[in-house]
Amino acid sequence: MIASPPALLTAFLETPVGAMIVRQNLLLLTPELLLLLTALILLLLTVSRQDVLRREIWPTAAIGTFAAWLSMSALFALTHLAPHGALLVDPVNMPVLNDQLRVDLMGSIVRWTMFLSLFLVVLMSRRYLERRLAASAGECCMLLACATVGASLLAMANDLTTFFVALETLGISSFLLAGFLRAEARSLEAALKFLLYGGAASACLLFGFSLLYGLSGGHTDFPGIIAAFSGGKLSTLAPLVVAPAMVALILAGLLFKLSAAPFHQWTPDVYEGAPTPATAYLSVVSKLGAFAAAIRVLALILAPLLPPLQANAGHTGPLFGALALAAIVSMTLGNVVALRQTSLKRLLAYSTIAHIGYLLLALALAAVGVRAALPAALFYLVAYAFMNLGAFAAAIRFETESGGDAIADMAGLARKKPWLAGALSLFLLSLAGIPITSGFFAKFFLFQALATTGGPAFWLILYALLNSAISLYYYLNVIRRMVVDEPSSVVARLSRGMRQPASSAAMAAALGVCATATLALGVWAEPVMGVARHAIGQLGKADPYARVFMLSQRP
Amino acid sequence: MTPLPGYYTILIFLPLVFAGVIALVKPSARTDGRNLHVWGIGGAALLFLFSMLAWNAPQLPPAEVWPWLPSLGVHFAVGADGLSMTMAALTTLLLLLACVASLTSVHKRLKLYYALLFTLTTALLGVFLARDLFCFFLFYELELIPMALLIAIWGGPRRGYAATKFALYTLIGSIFLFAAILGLYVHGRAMGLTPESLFLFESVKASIPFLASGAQLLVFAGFFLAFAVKLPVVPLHTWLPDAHVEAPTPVSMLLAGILLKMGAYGMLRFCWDFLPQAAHQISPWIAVLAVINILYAAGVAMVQTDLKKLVAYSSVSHMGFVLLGLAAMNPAGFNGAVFVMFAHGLVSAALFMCVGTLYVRTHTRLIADYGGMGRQIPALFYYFMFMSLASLGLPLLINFASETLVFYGAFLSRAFHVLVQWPALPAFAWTMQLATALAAVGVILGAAYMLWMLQRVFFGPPKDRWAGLTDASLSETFVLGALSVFVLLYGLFPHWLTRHFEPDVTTMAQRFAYFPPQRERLGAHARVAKPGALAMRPLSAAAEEAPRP
Repeated sequence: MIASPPALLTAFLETPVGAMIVRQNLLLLTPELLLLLTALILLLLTVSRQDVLRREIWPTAAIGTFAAWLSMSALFALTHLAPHGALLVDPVNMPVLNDQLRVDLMGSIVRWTMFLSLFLVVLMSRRYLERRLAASAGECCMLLACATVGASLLAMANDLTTFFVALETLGISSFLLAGFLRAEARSLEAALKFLLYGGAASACLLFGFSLLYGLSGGHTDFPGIIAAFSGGKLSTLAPLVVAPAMVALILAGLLFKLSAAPFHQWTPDVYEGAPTPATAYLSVVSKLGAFAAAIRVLALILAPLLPPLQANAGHTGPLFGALALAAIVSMTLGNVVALRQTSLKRLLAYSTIAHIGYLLLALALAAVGVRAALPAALFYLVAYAFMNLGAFAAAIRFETESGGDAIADMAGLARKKPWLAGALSLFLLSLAGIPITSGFFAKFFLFQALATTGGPAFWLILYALLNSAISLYYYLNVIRRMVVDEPSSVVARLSRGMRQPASSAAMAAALGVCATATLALGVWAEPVMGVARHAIGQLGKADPYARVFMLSQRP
Repeated sequence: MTPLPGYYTILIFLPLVFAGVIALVKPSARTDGRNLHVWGIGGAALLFLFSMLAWNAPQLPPAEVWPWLPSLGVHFAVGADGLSMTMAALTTLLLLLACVASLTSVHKRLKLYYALLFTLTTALLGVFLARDLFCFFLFYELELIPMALLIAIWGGPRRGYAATKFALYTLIGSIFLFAAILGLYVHGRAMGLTPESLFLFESVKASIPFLASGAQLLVFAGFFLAFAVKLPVVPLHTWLPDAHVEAPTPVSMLLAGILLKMGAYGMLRFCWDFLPQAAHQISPWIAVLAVINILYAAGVAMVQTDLKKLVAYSSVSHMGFVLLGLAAMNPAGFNGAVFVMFAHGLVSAALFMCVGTLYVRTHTRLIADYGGMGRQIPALFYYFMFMSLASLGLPLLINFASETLVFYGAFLSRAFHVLVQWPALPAFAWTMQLATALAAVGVILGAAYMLWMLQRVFFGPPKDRWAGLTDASLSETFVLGALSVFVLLYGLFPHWLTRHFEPDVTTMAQRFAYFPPQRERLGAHARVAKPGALAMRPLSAAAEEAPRP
């Protein structure tokens, strides 16, 4: 007899394993578990000697990452959207794995974007893997999956230990990804540089965490830390040097991951040296994870903790100052140095630094308890993911066929490949913040939110505006090359027509998804922005966060 | 009467649809892709006819307002008053003529050319028809990319430099625009306005009297700087000669004919209409800027050796008249300014067309290379002379009517009386009249450089090297003939044009309540211009007084 599904389900849930799944909310980790499964299958396929199986590597990766994204979408709909899909349910802050992880709306938005980005990266890397990484495509896809698991856990981490483990999972996978072009010195240099810088940054972060652990009286879980610091206990606990050192060390670790100045030096070399799909991945998924983690650490732990640290309660405390300075330096440096770049990947690396600079403005305010700009930052991240992935997809597409990414070589691309040049122009215009693209709304929402907070933020906006004007110059320069100039010798050699070996339906689909998302978010920004507002509104609201945060929230 | 529901939205996005259609048209190999010209001209003609629906309607269609970003209070709002409709009609007319002009002057990459041209038109129409600050900014930004590309691809030898300069100047200007809009938004939020009303023109306008006067000055400065780059006002004008000279003829026509008007339109709409109190304080200085604009640009035009540069500087000079009319702050000044905008749109486009026709024949623009051309190409000579005479303000032609109105307004203006309130400076009472007189000197200079140019180019002994030139072709005759008809008709019957914008523009001017209702002795100003005399009347009252005919 076959039991009916509900009965079967009930029976399963009564077993010890089923009970654990229920108790620990493990179902919420389905996407991560699927990715791990995919990674395992990929490893098995890689070690197999049979070509029949090895040929299945890319399809497996594509199906696995798609399944992960699909399950993430389903979970998102089930946990955060009402049955009718129109209304958002109020705070859902679900503990997972003994409260090591918290599933909240902000984390889910970031994770959903991550999984989609991973799927898109796999889609766009098909021909690149075949041509450049044929021997190690399996490991490469496996590492992408592992890194995403790390980034995803990082976005949900609710405990210092989990936070660090997730960060290292992401970090070590990233170091390996950067060095995958084993025959090229630049790639190895990138991996080594990334490893050394990353190791130092991790050490800083870990030292900061250990100080935090000591200051909070032996807590590693975020709620415990927050509770320990509530009621101004820090002033009695913290010697004058230790608390600022702790904040500085944690900040250094986070800023490294975000590739913000002054911890940005690794970015251009790694972006240039790493295989381009890995660069695309690093520039989006690892930034998403790091930013979500930074929001959590700054807005939930440091912001409530800081009032005793700060001389006066305005926006002008040392933490705000430090972050605002990092923002200013990041955007200036990113934009000014990008002006002189001749390689598209390096240009995009510096543009990433600049974009992180804009986003740091929102973080700087969040660090002093003003969350008004965080929804805009979240929207910015989602929009940035699509436009940046799109730009990298076009870069991969060009590189696969021409073998390089020099901007000078792209001259006249619009004549040969109007669709590719048009798509890349769209993404660059979006990165520059030209209207009817998501980048415009991202900047608009961010600056508008910053403006309403008043105070020194207004001058920061003017500075950021000036910077975005500078940035338009180098983005437009690439477009000018592609559209205006006569075809370069490289472009002249490219084959013409729709059926090229360097292209694939997967690449076209990835470009299409990115372009559609960039345009759609440029017209219908409101729904996404609404969800982002809701996410920040319920950030840390559930017990026991809520109590602490309410106490420390400023008017 | 409403021509169509959603009329303005269709009008704005129709060119974008055309751009998409043209991108899909297959260039025919037999005609070397010239079938795209047919598509371009056809699309422009359709658009022109469509815009005429509202232009000729007894009453403009109502504005269309849809919520876009409700949480921020942003609407997609488009609509028109007489001013906007005049500018929109000028845009579609010049687009059609520019497309016809492309027949002789643009030969490569036609598909991209027309796609960019129509995208540009969407942005321009959007700027003129937007009824929401956010939409306005969006379209204002959107105009930049197609224009820069049009200059950069189809331009002259220094096109890259010119396009970059144009883009950078416009960008810096739009930063100020964004800052001003953001300032207004933050102010509206601080005043507790509901988000629904923070960006719509009417509600922003209604909220401004509650803004601190210092903040009004700052916002005014932001708007003014943004549009001063576009207009251009003299220290910020250096992009213009480069852009105009390097751009191909049809693009020069659009640049001079419409893009400069974006600056003038923005100034009238935002600086003067939204912020009358700040305008009232700053206008004297703007009158000074206007005179500098007129005289400096006319002087520079005098010494140009390049024909196209001369016409470009004459544009800068004419924009000074617009600025003077705005600074006058009375109905005659405002209406004159709008009239000059339209007149200059026609005449400068025609002059650039004339220069272009000479260039395609001779491949030189240096005045010294010409001479005695009147014998060789008589028809072109006729058009060139007609348009030059129009430009220098010959009576019965359109510039005469418009500039006279500006001078009338400026002469009667009490703009400087804000300074006269300060008892130590009674001499300022006559400053506006002095400024008017100086501006009139600009007209004389205009006549000088135009006639001198005509004399050097068309008169004198014919040169052998220009012996076999062909005269005006059919398309050139069409463009120049159409423009000549409008220049003459609106010069003879200005009311046919002014009736479209006069009621709305006069309403704008009437908000400057210190304008004396009837002529009075100029010395009697002190009585009127007391502090507090600038009481703002509610908009509804002004609207009731000046209903549309």
